[in-house]
Amino acid sequence: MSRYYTPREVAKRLRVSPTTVMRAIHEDRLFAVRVSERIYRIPVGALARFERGEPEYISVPAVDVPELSESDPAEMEPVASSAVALVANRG
Amino acid sequence: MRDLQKHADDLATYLARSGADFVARRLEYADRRTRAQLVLDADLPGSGLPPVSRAMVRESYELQDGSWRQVAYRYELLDREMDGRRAFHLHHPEDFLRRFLVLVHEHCERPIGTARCDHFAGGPIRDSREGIRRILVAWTDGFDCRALTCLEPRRAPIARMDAVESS
Repeated sequence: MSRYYTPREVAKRLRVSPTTVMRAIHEDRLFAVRVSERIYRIPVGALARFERGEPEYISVPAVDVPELSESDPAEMEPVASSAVALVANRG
Repeated sequence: MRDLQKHADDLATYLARSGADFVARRLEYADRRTRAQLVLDADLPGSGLPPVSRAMVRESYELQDGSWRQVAYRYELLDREMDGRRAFHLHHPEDFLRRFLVLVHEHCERPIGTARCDHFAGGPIRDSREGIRRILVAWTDGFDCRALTCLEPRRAPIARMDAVESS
């Protein structure tokens, strides 16, 4: 299964026209990744979230810290080892 | 930019709308709230398996004349499923500029841990959503590290972006 849908696939899934899907994208009601001038991808999670009608607004908590970290984020919080192990076991 | 909190909330909402699930999100303030760093880490759900890709955003700001000026950024994708890392960086000047004569650069590893080059040439990203878009494109469509130009220490042309001004 792919990580994303094309606008045409979304249209088929939602039983609307591709034009309606493109309108939703251009009106910023449906999240899409613009890969190039005419190519859009709708991540599977974005469509699921669109169908559930969330999120309205995400708040980012502000915290005071003694010093800002300069470390590499890739090293800071690695992907959960269980998920990595799962991928490794797939083959 | 005047309202850093609103920018952080807008960007988090944008990333969440992509279907990403946050594992970390915070706006860190330091030095009596004259410096700040936005931290967003989110897992990207894929093909029904547990999430194995992570999007990471770091944006650093300094308060200058009442406005927040962006001085550094990191937009990263760590894709365990496809075994690749794609990153777009603007570092804070001092150390990096001395070594490479450039601040803006990119990273590309595939498989992870086997980069043929520590830093690749790249253009500045002036809009936070563009940074996130780039890592999402890498996530949806993959990427090819072979097309990138390696930066050699002390030989690269100056491609400095003094500051990233955001509205």
